[in-house]
This record gives sequence, structure tokens and C-alpha cells, in this order.
Amino acid sequence: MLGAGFAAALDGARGGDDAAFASLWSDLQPSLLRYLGVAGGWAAEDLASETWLRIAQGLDHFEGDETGFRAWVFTIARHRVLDWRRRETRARTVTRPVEHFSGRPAADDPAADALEKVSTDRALALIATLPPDQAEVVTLRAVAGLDVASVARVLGKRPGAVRVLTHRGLRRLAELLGAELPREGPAAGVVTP
Amino acid sequence: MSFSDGLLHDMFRRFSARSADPLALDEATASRLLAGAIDPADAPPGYAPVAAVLAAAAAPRRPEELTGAPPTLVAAGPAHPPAPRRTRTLRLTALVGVAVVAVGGVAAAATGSLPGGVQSVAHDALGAVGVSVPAPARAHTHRSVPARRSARVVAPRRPVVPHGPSPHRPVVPRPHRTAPVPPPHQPHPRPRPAPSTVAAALCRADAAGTLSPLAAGRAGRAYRSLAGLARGAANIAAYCRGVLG
Repeated sequence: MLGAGFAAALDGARGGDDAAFASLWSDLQPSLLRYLGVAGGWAAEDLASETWLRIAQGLDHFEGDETGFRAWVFTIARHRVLDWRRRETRARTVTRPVEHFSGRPAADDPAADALEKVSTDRALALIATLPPDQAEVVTLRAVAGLDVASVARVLGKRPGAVRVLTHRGLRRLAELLGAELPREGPAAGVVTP
Repeated sequence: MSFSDGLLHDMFRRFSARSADPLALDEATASRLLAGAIDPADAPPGYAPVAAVLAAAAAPRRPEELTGAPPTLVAAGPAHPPAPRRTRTLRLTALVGVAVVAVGGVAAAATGSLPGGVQSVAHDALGAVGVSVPAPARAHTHRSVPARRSARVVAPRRPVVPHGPSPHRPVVPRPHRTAPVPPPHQPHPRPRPAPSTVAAALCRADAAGTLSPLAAGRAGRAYRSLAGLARGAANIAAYCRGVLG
């Protein structure tokens, strides 16, 4: 968060000041990349570039404070993700028959040793294994620092739905990290039918 | 929350946990957990590892997250009161038309001789009608067309090393950079070494054929996680050779 410097940075960026735009970028880019990594996987960097392009194009039209700005930025990012998912779905051809994967147990579980020493990448990889809407909500709240109302705006959902997804996501994480889950074997299968 | 309130709350939670859901969370606790305000040692039963994972996910920025140049607003000419986007787009389109004619028409664009900014738009615009126009070199943003502030933005996707002094490129403070920067024109940055067991597990699962980009649920998500670690689905094989040795 830029805090008191935000208004000046926004004004500067609107006036074409690259240094001001760079300060907005350096403040938001890390959490943007993490969110896009969870929601958009390997395309995160390209999606971040597209997001910044849209941000720059829309700066003049944005109205609001820093909280609103962050929600606006992540809304743009999410639209890039949705667009990318549509493109991916269209472009993807079947490289391996689907039935080839059904019913096979996982070789290992990413959650198994997450407790030992949790790096940011591993934590994000674990969150990314949640159902997509839960993963997005948890990331937007924990990583992007958005409150329930902002996340609801970003996702176009009602605040109540965001709360429910949040609880489910946290609960699922607790289950994934819980000791009662076997580390290997059919019960820890990655493949869901 | 007073001590007795906390005690009551705790008793209620334990009671309801026993009777219904051992992992139930109230709204306030969930919010504090997500905000990183709960130390794993103080987390509700079952949530200590979650607190640790959330803290790691929200850890301070890392140098590799700020590699590459920040996007730059390319301002051609003096700034003026912002115009509505549609107007600016039209103006930009008109500008490209004028520039293409002035510099020698489509031939100039086809040989890549237009100024960088114009070349970029020409690449998009003429490509749509079947004329092949090389994309501009990213690091060069020469400006030779007098114009008002355009809506163009240079947003490099990869770390870019400037080719030399470029008097037209606005000076932008580069973020502190500690990670080595790959040379320009390298299509993919080297795979980040990730000696984690998660990566190895994902690689073994992929080798065993259990992961698929098409699968719903965890198989698909695990595949995307692996593709993310490998920096692209195309790099998975090479990445996993490195991880699994």
C-alpha cells in the first residue's frame, strides 16, 4: 500500500509521469503476479502485462481511493484471467485421452510436507489446488489484502457468497494440511472422477 | 473482546466443534487468519498450518517479482487534459494512417522502418487486413511523429535489457534488481531451480500420467501448478528432468 503517497502517484501517472506509474506498478505487481499465478497458472506474467496495459488505458476513468484502486486493478486482472481461460479452452486440443487419467492415484500430495518449511511458491501452489473460486477468494483476501466488499466487487459476487467461499477455502486448506490425510495411496488421489 | 467473552466464545466453539464441525470458523477469526493477524501457535485447532501457509503466501515481495522494466506510459508531446478513451483511440488510429502515408506507406511498415510506436500499431492494424508487418523491437521506442499524448503503453513481458542509450525513452526508475537478468531475446527465462518436494511430486505424477490439462478438479489444477513452476506447459519435460535429476 502506498498510503499517503497514493493520490500523488495516481495523479502523476494520469499526467503521463512514468515514475509515478512505476511506483503504482512496484506496489501492486508482486501481489498481482501471485494472484495471477494462482488463477492463471503459467500465463501469469503475460496476464500481468495485459493487466497493466488496461490499467494505463483506464487510469483517466478511475475514480476512488487506494482501496478502490486495488479492487479495480484486480477486477481488470480477473477479466484477463477469464479471457485467457476461454482462449485456452478453445486452443487446447486433447493431447492424451482423458480416460487415460481416470482412477489413477496421485504419486504424492503437494500438501504433505507443506508444514516443514513453507516457501511462498509452495504456499501459492497449495492454494492453487483449491477449487478455483475458493483459491481466488483466499488469494484476493490473504495476498492482495482485499476486504470482503472489495473481493465481492472483483468477483461480481455477493459479500455473503464471498464469505462462504472463504470459509470453504480455509477449511479445505486445513483438511489438505491435516494429519488425517494419508500421504500416498488411493485416498489421496489427485484425480477426481 | 474481554477475557470472559473470549472464554465463552472458546467454549461455544469447542462445543459446536464437538457437536458439528471440528473445523468451523467464525467470521472474525477467518478474517484475522486471512490478514495474517494470527500466529500459527495461536491459531484455532487444525488451522496452525493454514496460518503458516497464508503467511508464506503473503510474504513480503521478492526481487524476482519486480524484475523487468515497469510498464511505461509513452507520452508523445505535451500532456493535455485527458480525452475520453474512444476519442484517443480514434486519434491514434488517424495518427497511424497519417504516419503510414507520410513515411512511405505500407512498404515502410512492411520493412519495419516505422517508428517503434507506430510500427506496433501498424503491426496490429495491418495484420488484420492481411499485410504482414514486423512487430517493433521492444526496447526501442523512438518517436518521430509529432503528436499529442497517445494511449500507447509499453509493457514488456520479459525482463528487458536496454540496447543502448535511447534519448527518447522516458527515464523510469528501475526497481532494485538482485536476480540475474537473462539476456534479451531469450524466449524463456531459465527454469527457476525449485528443489522442493512438491515439484518432484508433481513431476512424478506427470510422468505417471496422472496429470492432465483437461482434467477437472485436482488433476487439472496440479497440472497447472506444474506448468506454472516450469514457466509454461511446453517446458514441463525439461523442468522435470532438472527436478528429478
